[in-house]
Amino acid sequence: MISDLVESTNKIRTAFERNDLVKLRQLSNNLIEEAALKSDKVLAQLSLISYSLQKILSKPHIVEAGKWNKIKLTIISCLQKASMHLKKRNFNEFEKELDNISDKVFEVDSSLGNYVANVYEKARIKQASRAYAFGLSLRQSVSLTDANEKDLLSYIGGTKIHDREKEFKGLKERKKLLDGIF
Amino acid sequence: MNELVFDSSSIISISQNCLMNVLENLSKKTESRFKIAKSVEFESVTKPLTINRFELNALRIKKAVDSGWLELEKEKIDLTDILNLSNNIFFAENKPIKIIHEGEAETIALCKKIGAFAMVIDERTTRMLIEEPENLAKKLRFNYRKKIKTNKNNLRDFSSAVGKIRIVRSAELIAKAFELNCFEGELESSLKALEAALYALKFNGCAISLEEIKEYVGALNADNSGRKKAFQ
Repeated sequence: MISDLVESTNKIRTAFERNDLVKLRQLSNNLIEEAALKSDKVLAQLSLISYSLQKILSKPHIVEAGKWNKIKLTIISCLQKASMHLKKRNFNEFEKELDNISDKVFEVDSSLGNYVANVYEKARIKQASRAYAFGLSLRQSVSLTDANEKDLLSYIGGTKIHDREKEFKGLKERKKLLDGIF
Repeated sequence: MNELVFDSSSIISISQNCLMNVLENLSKKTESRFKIAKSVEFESVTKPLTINRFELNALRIKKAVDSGWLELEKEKIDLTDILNLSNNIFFAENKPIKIIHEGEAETIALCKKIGAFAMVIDERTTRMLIEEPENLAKKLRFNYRKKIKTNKNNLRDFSSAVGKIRIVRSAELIAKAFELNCFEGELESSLKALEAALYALKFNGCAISLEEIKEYVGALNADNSGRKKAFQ
C-alpha cells in the first residue's frame, strides 16, 4: 500500500518534471479508478493533483509566465517531500504536503489563469464523473473528490454516460408507476 | 395521502431547470406529499447557500421547503442497515466496494420509514443497485477489468431491507405533470415544452437517454396526429 503510494507520487513528479501531459493524465485516471474501488480519498487527491498539473502544463499563458519556473520547482519539491514522508510512514505530513500542492495549484490558477472556475475544481468534477461512470453512486463520487453535486450533474448531463447503457425501465414504463397514485 | 421521497440529484435537476413551480402544481393537484431527508436538504440548500455560484438554485429549493409543499424530514433516520448492507455486496480483491453514500442511504431509509409510494432519484447507480444489481456487478466487472464477487447473502438482505420501492426519475414526474396540465404558470402546455423540459433535465444530469426522450415524445406526437386525423 505505502510502496504503491510512493510509486504513484514519484511517477507524478517525474511526469511533471518532464512535462509529460499524457502520462499525467493516464496516472490521474488510474488513480481515480483505484480510489473509487478502495474508497480512498488520498488516492483521489493524488488523481486530482495529477489531472490539475497536466491541465496547467497545457496552458501556455501559465507556463510562459515569468514566475512559472519558480512555482514548478516548489511543486516538485512538495512531491519529493510527500514521497519522503510516506517512506517514513509519516502520513500526516504526507497529507499536509498533498494539501500544499493542491493549494499551490489553486494559487497559480487564480493568479495566472483566465477562468473563475479553478483547474482544481474542474479536476474534481472530471474525476468524480469518471468514478460515477465506473459504478459509484453520485454522492459517493462527490464525497470521494469533494466535487460540487450540481456541477457534477451538469457535467454528466453533457456526456454520453447515460446514453451508453440501456435503461432497465424506460420513461413510458416508469411513468406508468405514477399512474397508480396520480 | 401519497408520499414521494426525493434524492438530491432529482431535486437539484428540477430546480436547476426552473421546474419547481411545475412540481408544486403537481403536488397540489394530486394532493401528494413530497419529502426530502436531512442530508438532501444539506446538500441542496445549506451547503450551496454558502457558495455564491450555487446560491440561486439553493434558494429555489429553500423556498419550496419554507412554503411547506416540499417537506423536510426532521426526525433522525436509522440508516445503519441499509448502508452496511449496500456497501458490502460487491467485493474486489476480497475488499468491499463502497457503492453508495450516506445521502442515498438516507433517502432509501426515509422511503422505508414512511412507506413512500415512490423514490425520485436521477442518478443511475443507486437505482441499479435496487432494481438490477446483477447488471451493476457486470458493469463493475467490465469497467475495472477485475473479478468482482457478489456476496449473495448481503444482496438478499439488502433487497429484503429495501423492499419493493418504486423508482422514478424527475423526467417521469415532469411527463406526468404535463399530462395533468401542471405546466401552467411556468411553461406553455405543448409537446414542444415537454420535449424541451425533458432534454433540459437530461442535460442537467438526469439519467435518461436521448433515445428514451425521442421515443416518448415521438409516440405522443403520433398519438396527437392520429387524434387530429380522426376528427377530420
